Amino acid sequence: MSRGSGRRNKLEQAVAALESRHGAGVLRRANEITPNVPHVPTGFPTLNTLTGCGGVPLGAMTLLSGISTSGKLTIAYKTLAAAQQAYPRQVMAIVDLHGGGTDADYLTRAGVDTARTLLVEPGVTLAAVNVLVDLAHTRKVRLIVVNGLVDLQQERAVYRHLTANLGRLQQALQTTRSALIWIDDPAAPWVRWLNLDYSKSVRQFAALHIEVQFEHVLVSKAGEMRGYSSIAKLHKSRWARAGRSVPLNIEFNGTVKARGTW
Amino acid sequence: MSVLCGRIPSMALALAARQRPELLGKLAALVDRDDEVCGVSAPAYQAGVRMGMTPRQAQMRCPDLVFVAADWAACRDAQDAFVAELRAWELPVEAHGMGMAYVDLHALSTNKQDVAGLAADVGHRVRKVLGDDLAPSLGWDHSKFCSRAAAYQTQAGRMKLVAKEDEVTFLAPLPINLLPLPVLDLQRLRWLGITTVGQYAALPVGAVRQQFGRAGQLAQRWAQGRDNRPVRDTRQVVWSPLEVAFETPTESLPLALDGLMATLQPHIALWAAELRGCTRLRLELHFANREYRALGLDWIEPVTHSARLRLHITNQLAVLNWPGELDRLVVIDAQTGELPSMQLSLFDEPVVETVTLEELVEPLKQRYGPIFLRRTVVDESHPADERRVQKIVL
Repeated sequence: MSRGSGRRNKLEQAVAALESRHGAGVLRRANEITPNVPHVPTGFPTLNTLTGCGGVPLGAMTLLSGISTSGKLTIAYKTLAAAQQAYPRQVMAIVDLHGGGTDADYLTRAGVDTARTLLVEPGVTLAAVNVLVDLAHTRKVRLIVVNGLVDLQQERAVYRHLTANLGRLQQALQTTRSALIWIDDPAAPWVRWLNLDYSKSVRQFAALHIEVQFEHVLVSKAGEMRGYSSIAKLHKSRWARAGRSVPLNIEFNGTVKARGTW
Repeated sequence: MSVLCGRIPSMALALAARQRPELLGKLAALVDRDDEVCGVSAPAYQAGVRMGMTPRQAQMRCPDLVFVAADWAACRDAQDAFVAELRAWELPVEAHGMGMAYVDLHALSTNKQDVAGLAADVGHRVRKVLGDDLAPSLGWDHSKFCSRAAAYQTQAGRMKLVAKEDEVTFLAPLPINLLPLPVLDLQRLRWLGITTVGQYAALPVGAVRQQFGRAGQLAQRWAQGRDNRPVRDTRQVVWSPLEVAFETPTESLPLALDGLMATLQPHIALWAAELRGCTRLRLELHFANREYRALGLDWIEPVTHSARLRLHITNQLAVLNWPGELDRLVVIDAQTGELPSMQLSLFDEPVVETVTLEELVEPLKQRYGPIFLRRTVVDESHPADERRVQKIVL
């Protein structure tokens, strides 16, 4: 009898003993449990499965990192559009730390109702952190997208203020079951591993961390660009094993509506 | 059984609001004599303030919080008046904490239609005596837990009657916070995806006992509609005095407290297992010079944490004048009550009216200025960005 089958037998005997003592169903395999986590779908089915919770979790922070044009903003906006459909009576918010960097045109083409989307441009100030906490506390904002975590690094005082208030922000999100998505630039794996990146505090608090990497352009048979393909890699999730990745195709007139003047 | 549960929501805070009406609907917290938060308004609860926090912790959660000292005399008078009205029918009345009590209506009626009239009469009388701002919410059922759930699920000034056959159906979708389990246990259940009473009731019994102990198992029985606890008239509950004797008379407060807490610990553990907490203690301190002092200790809400009990006892014993060395200490009375639920979080998903951006932003822009915008696409075919999109400052 091999060592592995011996251990398996012992495990089965232990399970049988526990079930006979405490009743059937007292134990379940971890992979049989499907967590029932309140969430908002991202609009990409493979990505929803990758996260382990069906999308972006409510009551928690999510970190989306990737270089410019990798597709992270598209994912955030599609999630925002899905949240508006799921919670039509509540408001969604985008906190733009870049200042004027939110393209309303692209928001509309991603399916977001801009009439019910609050844009906040606080600049890189202490107020940026405070307004996040206040928005979460209102109980009227279901999803907040914060674009530009990298900008907070420019002001040490602001970044320290953010780090000091992450716990409070997490508590507010948990209490009000709102979701917050941080948009960030990526850090090299060794920098992340050594916790040398500035976003390590947010990473520690985030329940979900996905990095999006641009792969290649999608071209139609006629030779026209019809979108692009990216890879979404799971760096952290409370509900799924990290390290897996899935491809995402972002197609014009598919994922987002194309613009005639593009 | 036929149990009516009367509950005055946030009674202590409502009494404070009588003196300070500006507190209504605002971020406010009551602070007791031990400098701990003992009452929280709905907006403050939403901001993350919880009972048992220190004022500093509460202020960290909510910088705009207003603190109000609890008026013990007014709370006690209101509670006594509330219970007195419930005793008008000479039926067993079991009082718990501030503003909650059970009445055993078995001798009068077990029928839903008859109870409706009785409950309405109770509600009117309590409202007449205490005022409209302390109108009770009433719940009725054949068990204490379900009647309490019904009282929590209805607004002040209204009643909810649950028939026995509808008990399980009524309890199943209610939030898990209704069960008076410790905060950590509720958090663990939430992480496991257990968010309703029905889901908790469906868990394997053995697993619940292993993870959450006797208290968790008792809560599960309640969740399954199997709460067989009788209504025990508070006046008839008998407490056998507990004596704490010291080897030698002592002037040391820590030593006296250690002895007292060691004697009370088995009772505290028993109360915790039955999901009850201490609401009142009466102590007699006997000194070596044959003098004695009596000390009364009250808590607004039932308390089951040894640390909180010890803190309050320490604070009161420290200010008491000791005429000599303490020879023995007698606990002559102890009253308990059911642990409260996190009542405000029962309305996790309130029916929210459609919120406009302007309504949302109005209180915020006074603090932050004109940083709130809305962008709309006005002409999607226009080649120039500034003509395609319009920016509106809210």
